[in-house]
Parts: sequence; structure tokens; C-alpha cells
Amino acid sequence: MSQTAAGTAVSRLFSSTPLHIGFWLLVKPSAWRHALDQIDSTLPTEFSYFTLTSEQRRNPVLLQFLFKNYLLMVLINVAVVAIILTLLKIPQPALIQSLWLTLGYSIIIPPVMAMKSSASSAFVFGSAIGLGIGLLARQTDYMFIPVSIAGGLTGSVMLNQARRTARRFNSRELVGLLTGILAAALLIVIGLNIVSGDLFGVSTGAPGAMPLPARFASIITAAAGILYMLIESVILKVRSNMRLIDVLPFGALGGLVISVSYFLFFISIENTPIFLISAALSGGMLMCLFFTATWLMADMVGGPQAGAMAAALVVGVSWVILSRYLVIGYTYNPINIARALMVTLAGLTFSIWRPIITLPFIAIWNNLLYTLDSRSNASPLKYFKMHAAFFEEGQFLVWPGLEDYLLLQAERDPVGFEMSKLKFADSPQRRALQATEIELLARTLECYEDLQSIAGVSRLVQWNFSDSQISALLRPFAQMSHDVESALNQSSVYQTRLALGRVRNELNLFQRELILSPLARSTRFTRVTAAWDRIIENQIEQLAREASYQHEIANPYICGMPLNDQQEVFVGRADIMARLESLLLGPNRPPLHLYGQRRMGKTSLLLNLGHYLPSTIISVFLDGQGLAGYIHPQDLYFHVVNEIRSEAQRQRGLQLPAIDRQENHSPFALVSRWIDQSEKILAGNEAVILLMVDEFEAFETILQDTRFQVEEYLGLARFVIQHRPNFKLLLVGSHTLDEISAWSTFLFNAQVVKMGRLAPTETMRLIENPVKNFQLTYVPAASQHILYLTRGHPHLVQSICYELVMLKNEQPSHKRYLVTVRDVEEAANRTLSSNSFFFVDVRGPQINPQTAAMLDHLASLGPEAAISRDEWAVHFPENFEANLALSLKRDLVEEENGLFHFQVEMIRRWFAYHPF
Amino acid sequence: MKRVDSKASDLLLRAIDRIAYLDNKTKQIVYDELGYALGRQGGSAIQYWIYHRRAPSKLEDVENLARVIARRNGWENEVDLHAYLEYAGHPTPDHLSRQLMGSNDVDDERLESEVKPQSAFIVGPPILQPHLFFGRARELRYIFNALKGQTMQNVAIIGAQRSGKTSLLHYLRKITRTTPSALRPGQTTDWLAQPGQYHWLYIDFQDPRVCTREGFMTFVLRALGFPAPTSCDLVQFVDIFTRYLTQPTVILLDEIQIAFTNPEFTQQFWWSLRSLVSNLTEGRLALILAAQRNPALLAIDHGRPSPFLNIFGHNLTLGPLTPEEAFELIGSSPTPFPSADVDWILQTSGRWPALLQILCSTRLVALEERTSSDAWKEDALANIMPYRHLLEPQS
Repeated sequence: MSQTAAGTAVSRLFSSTPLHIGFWLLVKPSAWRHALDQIDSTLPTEFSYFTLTSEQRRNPVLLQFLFKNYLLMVLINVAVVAIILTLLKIPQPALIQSLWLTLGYSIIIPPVMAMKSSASSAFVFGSAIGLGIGLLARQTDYMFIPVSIAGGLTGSVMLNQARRTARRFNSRELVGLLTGILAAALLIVIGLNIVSGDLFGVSTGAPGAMPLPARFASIITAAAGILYMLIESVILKVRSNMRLIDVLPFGALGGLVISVSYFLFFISIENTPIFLISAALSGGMLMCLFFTATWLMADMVGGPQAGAMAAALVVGVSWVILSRYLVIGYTYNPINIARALMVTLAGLTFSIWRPIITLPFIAIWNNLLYTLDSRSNASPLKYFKMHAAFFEEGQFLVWPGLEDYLLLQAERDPVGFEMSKLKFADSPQRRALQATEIELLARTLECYEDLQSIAGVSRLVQWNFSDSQISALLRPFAQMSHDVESALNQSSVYQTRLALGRVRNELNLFQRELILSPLARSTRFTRVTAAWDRIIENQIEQLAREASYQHEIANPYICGMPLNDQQEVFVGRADIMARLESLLLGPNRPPLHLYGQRRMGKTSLLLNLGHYLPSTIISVFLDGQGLAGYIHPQDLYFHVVNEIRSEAQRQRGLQLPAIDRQENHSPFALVSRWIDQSEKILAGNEAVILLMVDEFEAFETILQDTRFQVEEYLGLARFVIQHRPNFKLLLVGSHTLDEISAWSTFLFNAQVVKMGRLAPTETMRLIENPVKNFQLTYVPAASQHILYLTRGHPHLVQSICYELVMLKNEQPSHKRYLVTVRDVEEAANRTLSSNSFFFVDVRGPQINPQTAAMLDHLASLGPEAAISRDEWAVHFPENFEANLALSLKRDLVEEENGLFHFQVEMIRRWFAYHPF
Repeated sequence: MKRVDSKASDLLLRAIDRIAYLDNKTKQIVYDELGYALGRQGGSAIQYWIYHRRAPSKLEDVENLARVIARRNGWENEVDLHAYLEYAGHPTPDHLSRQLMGSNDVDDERLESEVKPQSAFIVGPPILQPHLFFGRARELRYIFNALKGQTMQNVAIIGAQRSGKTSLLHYLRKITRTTPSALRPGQTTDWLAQPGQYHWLYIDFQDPRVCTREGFMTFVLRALGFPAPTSCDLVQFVDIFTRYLTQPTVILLDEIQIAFTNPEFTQQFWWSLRSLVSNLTEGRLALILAAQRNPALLAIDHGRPSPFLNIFGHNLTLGPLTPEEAFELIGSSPTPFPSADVDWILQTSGRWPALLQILCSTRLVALEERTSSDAWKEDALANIMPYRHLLEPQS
């Protein structure tokens, strides 16, 4: 137990020696901070005794730390000098003299510096001076060198501390530097006048040549002591913010010490211990004074960097001059000023050149550690903590191989890697850390093996980097991951495949961008894109295989909207088109009236007619319902004229004349003249205008409007049809002539073309092959069943087939492609519901309630049921003949062998079902 | 604000990313499409502005680009558009951004990009946020299938009061352009191949702005960003619509029965609308109407818009939700309900969404207040009393 306690005490004693402190301050400043934190975290990094609070000053741990290291430093300095000089076989008297000097300087400098400047500078300055002067005691001409080194190194340490908070060197700091140097120069001049005796008219001469009489010596040393006391007091007051009166005793004590020691130096015999000690004490105190005064002055004016540099330069160079008065046997040589300057600058820049010079050697060391760690399987890494990155804080270059070492740590010891990240985050080694992170990210992205993982990347990985280049590099991956996620969320295999295809295109484009990118890191990510590409490609292939079994059938059917010439699903009607063509081609033909029940496909026929007719016919489609909104007659006529002109230009490139609305003629006269002019152009180009007016019954409202001069225009129209063979008219509607009395005079000789249901072959084509490569296959009975239900009614065929495709898409893939009678029945039932508008229209406005009741009765008899006229009349005697005629006109029933039955089974079902 | 090219370029890139996402296209295609829309030979100018982090130097290009992107729903919100215009040096960004994305424009078409916190069950108002909408999978499939083809087809939705017609209409217009993050997991959004191409316009005939013919026409033209003359007649309306309609546009007409009984909407009006949809817009315009009663019967009653209804080749009658859909709605409660309560809610509601919402809301409140008795059931029954008609046999 006692042995353990002793061991701990020894361990604590040697955990922070002056050697450690020197290493920390010069190589690893954070360790110095750490050591202070262990003592008292409120201690400033740069603290002097007088800048501490009274509580901090009384901290026994701090006092113990400082005192222990002070004593150790003195001992170490003496021991090192003794050993080196012994090894150099220096004669014993000289060795002893050197040791006295080392002892003197080592004793005096640390406490003086620690009081006025800082503890850290005390250690560095004290060690450098104590060792340097001890070792060069016999080389008096070069005694300035250790002072220059000490000044430079101390300045370097202070500079390192200052750089943690200060900006870069600027003009203000330059002014501060010059101020400090000038102030120091003034101080030196005054000091020299005193120590040389010139101020008192007594020349002291070279030191040691002739000891001064005590009378003169006491005057000079008293003056020096007073001056020192004043300056020291001012310095302490500035540093401590204490009152002058409070710091005066400390200044006085300093003045007394320098005065006494200088006095002894003057009067004692050369190379005696008193002489040497007094020389060291007075010299050391002077050095500290110069350093501190300069530093303080420059610091006040220009900040800490200026202070550190000024102090280093002044101390480093001034000793070349001061040595004339303080060093026995010294020969002044002005060139030494330049040498001293160089040595000082070398010291000041120590933290810059040292890492560069040591880099190759330490790199070998680091590599050795890496080799050892990579060969062992230890986790955490055994040797990594000895890597220079952990102790060499001055290294501003990235350690070669550190990236690999960090990767090794990330693989073996993730927790340790997190600590390393914290450690290096704000150090120059951050670049190695960054490269490691990039590599890890690349590996993360590269290691995914399926699409689900890739889809999750966008949520799992942090993409927002402050570095715009890295962000630019990673953002596409996040986007693609997101795209993959949305591709996987698609409801159908087909859509997923399409979406993945798009992601793959993006990926390929991005891969090309990466290859062309000037960014060094970009090439690393091409491996990631290649890996993702393989995964997506495999998935697309797999989906393609699945899709061939699973994909939905596209629904080609259209309900309610007319089919234009772009739609494949328009079938049949060749017979009607041929008939219309033959009726149109002859000259002086009467107007044509295309008549058919609603939803029979009349508009679709018109929209497709243009393709069927010869190119000499310019078909102009007009929607009567669209034109019914015209209020002013001239607007309507001019609109029709413009439509004709536009189509003539589009279809045949014919430029028909325009109507000038500004002309002072009636619209009738203008239209009439325009027809004459156009007729000539059309005849000259063998062109015929076919005006197709759909839903022409909508003009009923116009016919009732007196403003439109209907009679006049109908007369003109009749004239045109009869005498202008290049104008043809096709009126399309769902009413017979007797139902539209207003038109009867105009259309009395119209050629009526009735449009009925599709022929069975056309119906079967619409059912089984509505478009190329249609995927539904019917069992023969199924398509026949549709034919039976609809009897070729185009709207009903489209509606049932539309519902059928919807129904089949709801079924599993193995049932999806074959249509059975059961499917058709289900689709037919759905059609009754989804097409109620059509059925309501059939049973509503087109017939009267008595007719509806008759048909309800017939429907209730069941499918294919028929009823004789007499039997039917018994049930519905009122207006029976008229109502029967209406049913026949509306193509609802037909007579066969004296019996009446529904023409279309679906319509019968509605009458039987009639939910409303 | 000072012109800042790089920021304008960043916003442009963001808008292009968004269009690419909405339309499921590569950015290169979007560059080209925007380039063509600006009257150029391709997307090289757009790429130049993106890669060199520049804004267009010509004011005309800045405006046109803003306009085209707004039409493609590329701007996430008005703030982005405004910022783009400002950074690109536009002299009147306030005016233009308001014009392109302001409240009178197609603001209804904004993409839902984030889930807004809202109570679990909605009692009363229609559901406007897609993540709170449940069920109607078959109806959605049916409707979107009608809108998919080259020629869009028209659909009528019929349903009793409180059957969820309005919520369905709002869901239709929003769901295809809502980002997955703003939805529940598994909610389908890819109903349309290029959702960004579609323009959606919701019209409620209870809205006084559309209860006159001229008001309706002006509202529609303005909402679609078409020129709207001060005084607009039917012919002008049809003419402007025909001339300016370039993209698939779906107009959702809610409470259509009000319009049918309104003498302002004459036979000529319905004919013109039918003509516009069936013959003049080449299948790029579709109407989806919602009514409480079969409009064909209304037409018979009022004798007017029967031919107009002929263009509706499909009609759907809204019924209760399927059991799975009703379970999903009930299961969305932040506090799970006891299974006995779930059964009671299912049975009592008849799986009608409005009743489900009321019952679930009442149950949830009771659970949160730690009421252990069955008193909540009495409250729930009282709450659904006004909507008992849903549970009666449909005529």
C-alpha cells in the first residue's frame, strides 16, 4: 500500500517536469492548457503572478506546481551544464564558474519573469538563458547567442499563444512593434548612461578591468536600482491593475536586488562566486526588464503579436551592446548585431520551420506505427495514440498517411475515430479527416446491395456540407436516392420501371460529370455510381421480367368524348363514309342531313371524315352548340367565314379572301360577295368546301331571333347549295326533319343519311382489336355476349369494354388477360351504373312517360321477350299507336314477325332496372 | 435588393429540380423544355445560367422564365419566385410574383410539401390535406384512368350530402403533386405520368364569385392565367380558352346542381361548355363534376343541360368506404381504440367517412380525457344525428 502511494507520488512529481513544460509550450500548447486546467480551469494560458486573482494566487496546487518546476529547472540546468562541460573536458575552474552563472541566471529569471510577464515565458526564457550562458560562459564574445535564442523562443511561445486569438499581422501591430523597439532603445540608452557611469561623470570602463571604488559604485548602482524600481513598479501596475503604491514595494525589492547585485559585481573580484552570482542576478534582471518593458509597451499599442515580436527582437539583439558593460572579456563587434538578429528570428520562427525540418523523420515514425497497427488485429489501435498528429500541434502540413491511419481506426475502433474527429476537427489535420470522411461516405454509398438500401440513403446520410464542392458532389446521390425511393413507391411495376430508368439516365449523366470534373475526389465516386448502376440495372431487368406478367392493360376506350382522327379506337363506318362521298361528289347536290340517335358516333364520324374524303374536299367542322352563344349575327357569319378560310389555308393552302368588316355594307351583302369571290378561287383550284354543322338543332334559338334575318340567310344558303357547286353542306343532328319544323323549308329536299349501330364485324373489331397489340383475349362467347348486349351500339360497346378493362386490371395477373362471359356480365352491370346519364337520357327527354311505361312493361318480360301489338295495346291503350311510333323512331324497339322487342339488351336492362 | 446572380441561379436550379421531380424527367429534358418555351433552340441558355451561376441578362428572359416555371409549378412558393425576380434584377418583383402565384392565380395548385400538424380526425369541413384523406381507391383509380389518355374524359361524381365529394375533389387536385414526405406511407401519388403538366381548378358553385355567368367565366380565365376581359361574353370566353389552353386542364365543378337551377347559366352556356370540352380543346380539357343527385335527373327536371351531360361518359356514385379503408381511417388515431370500439364505430358509421370521422373524433376525445364509461357513445350518436340520412337506404 505504502509502495503504491509512493509510486503515485513519484509519478505525479514527474508527470510535469520543466522538460514536459518546454515540450508543451514549444510543440504541444494544448497540453500546457490541459495541465493548467488540471490545476485550475480559470487560469489564463498566459498568466503572471500579478495577473492572478488573490484566490488563484493562494491555490496550493498552483504554487506547488510552479515551485516544484522552478526548483527542478534550476537543478536540471545545473546538471545539464555540468554534464556537458564535463564531457567536453572543460577545466574544473571554468566549469565551476559556468555552473555559478547557470545557477544565478536559473534562480533569478523564472521568478522575475513569472511575476512580470508570464509563467510560460519564465520557463522557456529561464531554461534557455540558464543553459545557454552556462555552456558559453567561456565564449564571452558569443554570449549574446543564448540570449538571442531565449528571446526568440520565448517570443515564439508567446506568438503561438497570441495567434490563437489574434488576427494576422497588420499595420496596427507594426506600429506597436516599432513603438516597443523605440521604447526599449530609449531605456537601453538611459541604462547604458547609468551603468557606464557617464551620467555621473565617472567611466566604469570595461567590466572587470578595474573594480570601481565603492563610492562610485554605490552611486551608479543606487541610480540603477532606483530606475529599475520605477520601471518595475510601472510594469507591475500595468500588468496587475493594482495601485502604484501597492506594487511599489515589489518594484523597490527588485531595485534593491539589482542595486546590491550590481554593486557587488562592481566591487568584487573577478570570477569569484560572488562576482559571478551578482553578474548573473543583475544580468538576468536586466534581461527580464528589457523583455517585459518592451513586450508590455508593444502589446499595449499593437497587441500580443507585436508584443511578443518586439520583446524577442529587443532582448535578442540588445545583449550584443549591453555585453560591453556586463561581460568580462567581451569584444564588441557590430556584425554580431546582424547575427543576433538572425538567431532571434530563427527562434521566433521556430514553430514554422521546426515542423518542416522534422517532417520526414516523424513521418517515418508515423509510418512505423501504422505498419505495427495494421499488422496487428488490436482494437482499439495500439500505437495510433503515439502518432505525431496527437502531439505535434505546430505541424501545419497534413501528415502523410494520416488518412489511411484514420480509416484503419474507423474500421477497427469507431468510438476512437469519433474522438479523433473531435481532436482534429479544428487542426490542420482536418484535411486528412475530411478525406477520411469522404472515403467513408463513398464506402457507405458503395456498399449498398439493393434498391431499398439506396432509397434509404437520402434519410440516413448527412448531405449538407459547408464545403460547396463536397455538397455538389454528394447532392446528386441524395437526389438519386430520393428518386429511387419514389420509384419504389410507385403503385405499378410499370411506373417503377420507368422511374428507375430515369434514375439510371441521371446516374449515367452524373458519372460522366464525375469523370470530367476537375475535383480530385470526384473520381472516387465513379466507383459508387458504377455500383449503383449495376443494382438499378439488375432491378430494371427483374421488373421487366415481372412486368411481362403483371403490367396493367392500357384502356383505349373513350366514353362521352368524340373520337378524333388521332384515335385508333374509331372503327367502322366505311359504308356511311362511302355514301356521303358519293352524295357529295356530284354537282348541285342538295344539303345532306346525317341523322342518328344520340351517342351513335356522329361527331366522331365528322372528325374522321376528312381523312376518308378525297383531298379536293375541304371539310370545315362547326359545332352548332358552340355557335349558339353568338349574339350578333355579323359575328356569327364572320366567324363561319373565318373558319372556312382557315381550313382552306390549312388543308389546301388556298388563300380565300377576307371580309372587311369596316366596309359600309350589310353583313348579308358582304357574305354574299365573299361567297362569289371564293367560289371562283375554289373552282379554279378544283376544291370543294364541305361545311359540316354538328348539332345543328342548336341553331333553333338563332332561328327564333329576329336579329339574325334567318329567312334571308336560309335563302342565301339554298342559293349557294344550288348554284355554287363548290360549297356543300352537311347538317348533323339527332332529330328527324319532322321534329325540327323551323328547318323544314330549307331541308325539304335534303338527302338524309341515317347513322345506325355498328355492323357485327365492326363491333367485334372494336371489342377484340380496338388498338394494335391489344392485350385482352376473349373467349368467343364473351365477345359475342358484348355484341348481344349492345347490338353494335358504339357508345355502349365503348362503355362496356372500358369497364371490362378496368375490371380486368383489378384481377390478378394470371386471370387478367382472358375475358369470360362472367367478366362481361360484371362489366355490363357496372356500365348500367357508370353510364346512368346515357340511360336517363334515353328513358327521359327522348320519350314521354306513357311510352316509358310501355317500355318498362316490355322490359319486365325478360331478355329477348317480345310482345304483340294487341297484347301491348291492352295494357297501354292510351295513345298506344303514337307511343309505339315514338319507340320505333327512337330505335328502342323493333318489330319482328309481328312481335315487338327491344333492339338493345342493355337498354332493356335499364328499363327493367330503372332505378330513378 | 441588389442583383445577385448566384442566388438567382441557385433558385432557378431548385425550381428545375422540382419540375424534374414532379414530371419524372431528367434535368436535361427540363432544360430543353424550358429553353423551347423561351423560344430558343434548346436548353443551352438555361444550362449556362445554372453552371455559370448567372441570371439572364435580359429582363424579358427573366420574366418569361419566371412565368414558364410558374406554369410548370417549379416555384415552391411565392417567396421563392419573388426572391428569384429580385436577385435577377427585376424592377417590380412584387407585382409579377403576385400575378404569377398570387391568391387570384392558381394558388390552389400548390404542391403540398410538408405535413402540417392537424388533429387526427376532421369533423365538419372538407379534408384539404391529402395525408388526412382515406379510402376511395377504386374511385381514384377510375377517375385518374379517365384523365390519363391523350383525350381526357369527363367524370361525374354523385353522392349524398356529406358523402365526401368535396374532399375527393380536393384530393384529386392535390395528390399527384404532393411530395411523399407530406403523405402517409403507402399513399399512391403516381396516378398520372406527368402530373406537373396538369392544371387543376376547383370551382364551388356556392362561391358567390361564380354564381353569375360572367363571374364564372372571369374567374376561370383568371385562375388559369388567361387574359380576362373586363366584360366577358360566351364567345370571347370560348375564344380565349381555345387559344390559350395548351396543357391538360381539369376543372372540378362542385355542387353543380346549384348551377343547373341558376337561370344565369342558360342553355347556350352549357352548350358552349360542352363544345369547348368535346370539340374545341382537343381533349386537353376535362370536367369533373360533383352533385348530390344524378344530374341527368336534374336536367330532366329543369330541361336544360341534357346535351351537356352527354359528354360525361362516366359517373360514379359515392358509397361507404370498404372495410379495409374504414379500418385504415380508424387506425390513424394517435391513441389506438379498443377493438370493441372499433367494431362499434364500423357498425354505427356504416363505413361512411364523415360518420367515421365524427365517431373516431368523439372516441379520441374521450380516450384523451380518460373517460372510461361508454358515455362517449351517446355523444357520438348525438353528433352523427344530423347525417343519419347517409345510413338510410339510398333512393
